[in-house]
Amino acid sequence: MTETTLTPSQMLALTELSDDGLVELATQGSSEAFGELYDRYIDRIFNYIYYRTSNTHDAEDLTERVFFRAIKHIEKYENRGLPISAWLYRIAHNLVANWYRDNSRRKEIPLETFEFTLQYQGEKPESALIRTEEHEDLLRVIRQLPADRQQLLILKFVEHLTNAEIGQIMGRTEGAIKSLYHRILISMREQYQVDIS
Amino acid sequence: MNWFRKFPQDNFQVMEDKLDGTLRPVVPRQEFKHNLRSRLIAHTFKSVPVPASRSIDRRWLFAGGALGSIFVILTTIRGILSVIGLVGLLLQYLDRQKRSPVSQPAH
Repeated sequence: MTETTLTPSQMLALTELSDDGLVELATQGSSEAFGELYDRYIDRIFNYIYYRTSNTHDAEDLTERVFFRAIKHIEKYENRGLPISAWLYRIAHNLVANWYRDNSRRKEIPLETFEFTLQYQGEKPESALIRTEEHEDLLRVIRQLPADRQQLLILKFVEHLTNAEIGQIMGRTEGAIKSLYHRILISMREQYQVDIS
Repeated sequence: MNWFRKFPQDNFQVMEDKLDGTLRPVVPRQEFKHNLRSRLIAHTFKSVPVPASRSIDRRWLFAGGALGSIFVILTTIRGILSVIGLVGLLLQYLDRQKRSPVSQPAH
């Protein structure tokens, strides 16, 4: 990648640029523009991978790979009207799929609970523990879902994206996402019924 | 999974609330973020494409290497054939020595 040096005023303006503007600069070799994109999406990509892999170590490793792959191929990136996040999520999705293929024995690793314990510091320990168990149960059910369903739930509840935005990322229509979400809720309900029986 | 019993079977709202409460954003370590950012930026500086002149030099190098390899292979084959020929001549000579009667000096 050839380096494009920006003046301090241009670097300040980067934060005000749209994603498309940053992508254009990044494709021309601006590492500062790529850095700004990184700052915007690192948390989201990490969250997505974290909930897919169930542990921080692998989430960090795969997040790193996503951005290194992105910086390697950013020059060839073609803007087809989709947000750059769709491209980054696609890379993350593929890397997670490869990770599962290569490490199928690791599927049952429990999700770390440190964030839940931090989250409920204000509660009584007993109720916090019950809530943590509840979350672990639900996370276990979520992890049994197919990859695209997990992705939809993560984008909807962790990233708080709209159905239209999720559709752009997953390459489906808004209606298809709404329909898939409904099917997920139904299948999860069936899963509970199986568990109860 | 006693908790599942709490769900009313036709109420998705409860499930959505639980999902909302469970799938909370997590924050990556600041150290990890900073470290990765600086490595990514450093990576861009390293990846300067090879200048055209150096690419041409490399092409010549490959061509020379290929020709040299062909020469070595042909020389080896020729050497092997020469050794086989030499062995053949030697065997022929020994065979001839066996068949021919020992010459007696004429008195």
